[in-house]
Amino acid sequence: MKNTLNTIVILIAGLRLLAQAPTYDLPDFRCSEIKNETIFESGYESEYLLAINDSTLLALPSKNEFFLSKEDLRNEFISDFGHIYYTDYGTFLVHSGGGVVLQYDGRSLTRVDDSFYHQNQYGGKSFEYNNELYLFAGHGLFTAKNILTKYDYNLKEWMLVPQSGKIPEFHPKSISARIGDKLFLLTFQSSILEKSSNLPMLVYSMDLREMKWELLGQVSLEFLKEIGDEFKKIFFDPTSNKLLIHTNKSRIIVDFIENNYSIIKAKYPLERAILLNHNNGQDFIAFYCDNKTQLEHQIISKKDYYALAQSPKLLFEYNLDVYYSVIFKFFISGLILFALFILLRELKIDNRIVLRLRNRSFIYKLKRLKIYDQLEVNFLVHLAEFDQMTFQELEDRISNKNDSMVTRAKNRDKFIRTLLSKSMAVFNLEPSQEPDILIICTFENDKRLKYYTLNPRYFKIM
Amino acid sequence: MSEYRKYFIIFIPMFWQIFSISLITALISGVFYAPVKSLYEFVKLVDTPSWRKTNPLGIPLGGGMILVLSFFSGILVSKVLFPEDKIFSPMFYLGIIIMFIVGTIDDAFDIRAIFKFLVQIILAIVTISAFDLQLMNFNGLLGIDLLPEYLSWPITVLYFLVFINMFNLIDGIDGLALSVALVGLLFISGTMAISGEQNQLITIPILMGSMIVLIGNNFTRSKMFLGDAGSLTVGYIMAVYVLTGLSRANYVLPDINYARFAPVYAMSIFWYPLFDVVRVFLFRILDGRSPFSPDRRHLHHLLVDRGYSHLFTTSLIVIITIIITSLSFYLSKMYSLLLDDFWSINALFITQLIVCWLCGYCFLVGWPYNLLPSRKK
Repeated sequence: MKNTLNTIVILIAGLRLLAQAPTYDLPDFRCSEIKNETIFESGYESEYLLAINDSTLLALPSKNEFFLSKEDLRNEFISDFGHIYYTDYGTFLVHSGGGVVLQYDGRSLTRVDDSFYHQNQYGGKSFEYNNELYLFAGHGLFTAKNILTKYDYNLKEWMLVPQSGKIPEFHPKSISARIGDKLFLLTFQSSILEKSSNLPMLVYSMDLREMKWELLGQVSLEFLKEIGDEFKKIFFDPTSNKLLIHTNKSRIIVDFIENNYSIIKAKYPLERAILLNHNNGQDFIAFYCDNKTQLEHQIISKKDYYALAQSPKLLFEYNLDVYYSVIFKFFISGLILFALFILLRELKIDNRIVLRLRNRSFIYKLKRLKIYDQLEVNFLVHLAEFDQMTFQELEDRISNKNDSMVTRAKNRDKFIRTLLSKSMAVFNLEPSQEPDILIICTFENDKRLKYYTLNPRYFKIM
Repeated sequence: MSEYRKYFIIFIPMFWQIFSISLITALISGVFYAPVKSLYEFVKLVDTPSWRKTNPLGIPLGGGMILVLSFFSGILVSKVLFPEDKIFSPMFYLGIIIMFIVGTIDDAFDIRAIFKFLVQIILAIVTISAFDLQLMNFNGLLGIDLLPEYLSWPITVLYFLVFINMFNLIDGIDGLALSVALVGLLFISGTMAISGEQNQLITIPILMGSMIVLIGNNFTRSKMFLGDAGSLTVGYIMAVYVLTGLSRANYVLPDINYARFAPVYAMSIFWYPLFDVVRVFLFRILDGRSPFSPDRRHLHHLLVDRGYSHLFTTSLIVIITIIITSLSFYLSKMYSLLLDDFWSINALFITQLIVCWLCGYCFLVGWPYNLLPSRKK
């Protein structure tokens, strides 16, 4: 048993050794400060460049050092050259604020531009297209801008590139990826540096053949919640055309082409490591620090890494779809609510006499009433159709032409009393209760003129 | 419990969030309805019959109370169900309460118009300051672009006065004011979604629930009117929502420059109250009367007086509103392609003006084309 256990431990250790290269011991390097800009691929096979101090890059695994003088750097730090471009002419490092360009050709690191430290495109998005170096947007010198600049190899200077379409505003927390002939940009709506959690996140794409921007849509709320306010590292995998975003909670894999995203809940050490391409893009190499001066790394195949991803979810919806779908959702909700309301109301049996005008019938609690005579029916139908009948009109209907005023009034009273007593019988009411089955009103402009109207508490007209 | 809530929040699709909140608010309105009705009947806060009123009985004016009670209850419920959603500014809720109180006092004691306007002006100024909302840009409409600060403030205050009072002025037949407000909320919801005003968006299903209950009951015997309390409150809410959309909508849909045409869209959605109010004011002034003096010259009164029911009139106005608003979206896209920025918005404005006038007059007045013959015998 003990021998078996020992064998297993040795096997595991051996496998671990196979998976890991040796740790780099870097006594001059503050390993805990490692971040995206500090370590990056050199553009040459399985070689990585690490900024070990303010002016020196160290190549791994060869440990060759590349130093830049103070004159070249002008008191800027080598780690501030955060824009990395991989081209057929070599790897270019551009200062975060724009302008100064360093070229690494595998043997040396030299400054190649005739420009200066622009210091006005901090936070800008860099991308390479057809071996050209581009830098979009940025802030600096107290302004934010959404310009596009391109490095001219001949002039050794940066030129403005005209853009068209819906050009996005700069936002410091935007994320970009160049896939084929398109540049995709995830950005927040406003250029004002307000709390991004209040803003929608939009997806833009630029056709790099025409330099024309297009607003694709708005990311889902779920994605926005997942990405949160802070994301630490961003890495684009050119092999699978996926963008890896490292947030406080997890890693998010964004696929612009398929319009989806997935979450990877990676375990130690992957959850806090910097991922870079390895082995011709077949694997990832994960750099991390466990120790103050020791830079560790682990290699994992991309296939295994992506297999850790949860099922993909929709990344963004086209904006017009969002607009109309929201209206549609509200409309349907309202319609369903209204239908429920009417259904509930209809299910309740009405405790009123329902007067159907079409066939001049009276229904009470689903039973037809035949208690009123023709005159009474005519009177009630008239009230239902015209809302009122004056005393005089009623007297004209039920009295003769030659009747005196007293007789007409008496006839009217008798008619109304009979009608009311029949109605009270239906509702099982006593005369002493004095129900106002018929309401007597007066006209505003002549208080002498009175009219009858139906009380909707007792009658329903259909 | 917190894990369950998290599941509910993250995984529930938006439709169910909208429906559940509006259903809960509708239920709350239903529960409050009878007690509020009895209370208003007890204190005799009813709409007294007169020659101008279409109903001979005193109808309780508790619609506003239902709206406000359900609204705040709905806010609390949504906060419990969806705690991650941020609530809108407290100033907005305070404004609603102030408007409701002023309206209730007006219902009870019939206060003078000047006092009401004063309160509305103060509330408008405070709201503009609190939200930092102003009508700054007409995007070329009638040749007006960016407004200077000294003009922007008074115009925004005037805008508030118009919006708050126009719902009061169209609240003359059953369900009209609330139906117009509901249609407005529908179209505004899309704007809020794409502008990122999530904290405002959540208030729409809350309002929708209580409005549907009120509208539904408006056509039954147990109706309650909005009263000044309700109509002024609805007007204030709509004024804030529309102004937020107009002043913050720097957003562009792929084919439609929404931000540029936003003023005309807003006018299209609320064509009926704007058109009716302007028309009636004009007639009253020409007659030498105060523009605020009551009469039955409103378009909805004209149709009702021709024998059409309140339900028919309200439904007709709602349908026309939806058609006009949809037409404005369609035409804006067309004009964007054919005309430059200045002419596209002005062409849309003129077209919509003509369409509104034609619809308003042909359907509701019966001139120049009488599309709805009189049903009066």
